Amino acid sequence: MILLVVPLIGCTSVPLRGWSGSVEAEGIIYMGSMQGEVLAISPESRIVNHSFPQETVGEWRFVAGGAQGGGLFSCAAPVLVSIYGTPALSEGFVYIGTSLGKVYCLNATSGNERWAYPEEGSIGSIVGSPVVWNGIVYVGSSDGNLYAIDAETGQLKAGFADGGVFQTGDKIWSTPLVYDGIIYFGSFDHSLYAIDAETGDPVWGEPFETEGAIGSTPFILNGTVYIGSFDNSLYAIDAETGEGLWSFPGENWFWADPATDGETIYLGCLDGNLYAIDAETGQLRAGFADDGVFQTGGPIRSTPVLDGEVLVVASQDGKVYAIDKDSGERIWTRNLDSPIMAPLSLSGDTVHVHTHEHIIYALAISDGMIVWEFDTAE
Amino acid sequence: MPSINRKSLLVILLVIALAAVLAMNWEVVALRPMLNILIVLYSGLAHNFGLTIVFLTIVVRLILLPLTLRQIRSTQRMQLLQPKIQEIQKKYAKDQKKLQEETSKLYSEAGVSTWGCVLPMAIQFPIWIALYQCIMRVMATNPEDLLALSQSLYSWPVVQGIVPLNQNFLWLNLAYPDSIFVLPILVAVTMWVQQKMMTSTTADPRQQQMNTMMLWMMPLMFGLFTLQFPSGLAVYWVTMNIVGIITQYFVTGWGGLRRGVAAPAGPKAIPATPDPKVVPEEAFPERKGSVDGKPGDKRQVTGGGDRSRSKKARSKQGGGRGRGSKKG
Repeated sequence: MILLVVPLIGCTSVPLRGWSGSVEAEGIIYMGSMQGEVLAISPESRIVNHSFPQETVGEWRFVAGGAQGGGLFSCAAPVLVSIYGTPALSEGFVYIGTSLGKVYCLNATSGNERWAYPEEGSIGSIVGSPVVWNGIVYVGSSDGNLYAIDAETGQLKAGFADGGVFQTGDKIWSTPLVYDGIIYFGSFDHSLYAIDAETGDPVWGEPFETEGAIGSTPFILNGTVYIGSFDNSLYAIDAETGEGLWSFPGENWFWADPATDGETIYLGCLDGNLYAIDAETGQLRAGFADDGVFQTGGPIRSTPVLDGEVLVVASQDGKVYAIDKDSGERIWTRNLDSPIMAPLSLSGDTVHVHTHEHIIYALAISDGMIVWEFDTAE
Repeated sequence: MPSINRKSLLVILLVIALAAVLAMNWEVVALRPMLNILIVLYSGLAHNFGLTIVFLTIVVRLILLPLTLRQIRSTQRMQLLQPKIQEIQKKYAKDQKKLQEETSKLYSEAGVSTWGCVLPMAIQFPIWIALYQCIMRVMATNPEDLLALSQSLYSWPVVQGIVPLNQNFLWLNLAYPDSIFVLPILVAVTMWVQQKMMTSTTADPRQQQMNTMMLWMMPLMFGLFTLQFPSGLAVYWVTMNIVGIITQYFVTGWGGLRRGVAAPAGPKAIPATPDPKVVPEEAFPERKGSVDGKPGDKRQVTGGGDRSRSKKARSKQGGGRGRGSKKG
């Protein structure tokens, strides 16, 4: 009997839900739900709480794939389709990747599928967001490949790396950054890659090596690439040469993407701190909060957003904090009672927060009041 | 139910207190330490997670060996007393109080305590669960699991940068089930062997039926689990079983396995077979000279070991003691 109990209690896997952020275009919000759907949401309809979807105002729902078996006790991973990345919008189309290893291109107006890559089967699980540049969709996969897909046809882009696929040594959960014709992305093989966006040829002699896996998205500022790593460090790297400039140590992994005002990098860490780091020197900004550190009650995986002087950050403690970007003083705190891992996004004078209890909130940046909320599981 | 002496009571209370502490701080007291040790070992074992699972499982089993031995021996002593117990049960079927007294007396005289079986198991149980859970957790394959794992790591430099672990081992990706079904078979076979070695015969048909069911059900179920669970877990189960078989062998020999292969199915149920290494036959003089499947029968005790016995004879025996005992 004891041995029979073991597998039952031993299945400690956390239920998969995803943590898609949202993106807005022409008054419609696009996001992945925690039920494996892509949603187009109209804030006006949500304010008056109409049933979803209101097709007349451009709302739709697209079901991305289905269950993948799951097996006994649902311990085999992945079980259900989850969406971790934020949709990418380009030329009236929405691009999204799923945990079951499919990339979808959907019509932004109707939600109809234009193409899916691959048409049959799947590539490795997709955790990062796709990016679209110059008619090419770039997306990283858990099979260790960066795929370059023709945005028109949904076929691999010939002429890019090896038949449209650039191979790394481990999972790619990082969202690629395309800047000035170069793609920067991290891999679980501890490396940050810089490759030509057209050809897939490496730009640096060797990829930049960190001591840990890289799951965050790189960003670039004044010729410097910044990347957070699971070795608890944020690295600054010369974008041209790939040489390391400085590193900043946290107390846990850096998995969130940062916000920046061009001088200071605001970066959340899984140690629960939001660090304000001088982009030039890598030193903490002394005048910000507690010697450059603003503490929250839980790990920060969510990407903060900056609106003028107000920095908004969310934590796994279920709270959203609005902080003065210079002093680090708290302006307001909104407790949503649910862990927040999805990146925040700005929309006019509201900030969108997707909690792990599958509710998306629009909070007023001025005072944190809930303008509208929508349960995406409805 | 045997009476509990003061020492046993103290141990029971201690175990209950320990269980309460564990239940309250399971994550901090049990899971996190073992998880971090697992990662440190991984670092020292050439970043081979399969090897790490095997190594840690063996180490933990060795640490718990005294308890395991105590449990095996206590169980064995209990089994040896079964014929006497059954006699008492028959004799005092209508007098529960007397039945209890006599049973306690018998246990006391033989120096046996049911707690001797239960306590070592109770102490080992949380450790196995912790090991099991931390293997599952360390193999974090999805973002939520990895995020949860990040909160379980100590600030030791050796564990901080090393996660996520390399999950390739032999032909396996340890985070996913074995695609060529070798592990499910290994899990089922090793578990069957261990179960078979541990099982004793009994005159009680219901008990015998239960033993037979467990002998087949457990391996089948775990084999099925293995088809669905991450293969890292299957590596853990196989290692557990193999070490269990070796331990059992050195304590009881081939035990039920040898009987199952060689001993004839007697017309009567075969009572518990003592292990001469652990409890000498002299302790049960009334058994000496008994024949034909009764206690003390040399063939039964030693398992016969007659490898020349025909296949037909073996096949007659079929599912081992199970079939024979049903006749009883």
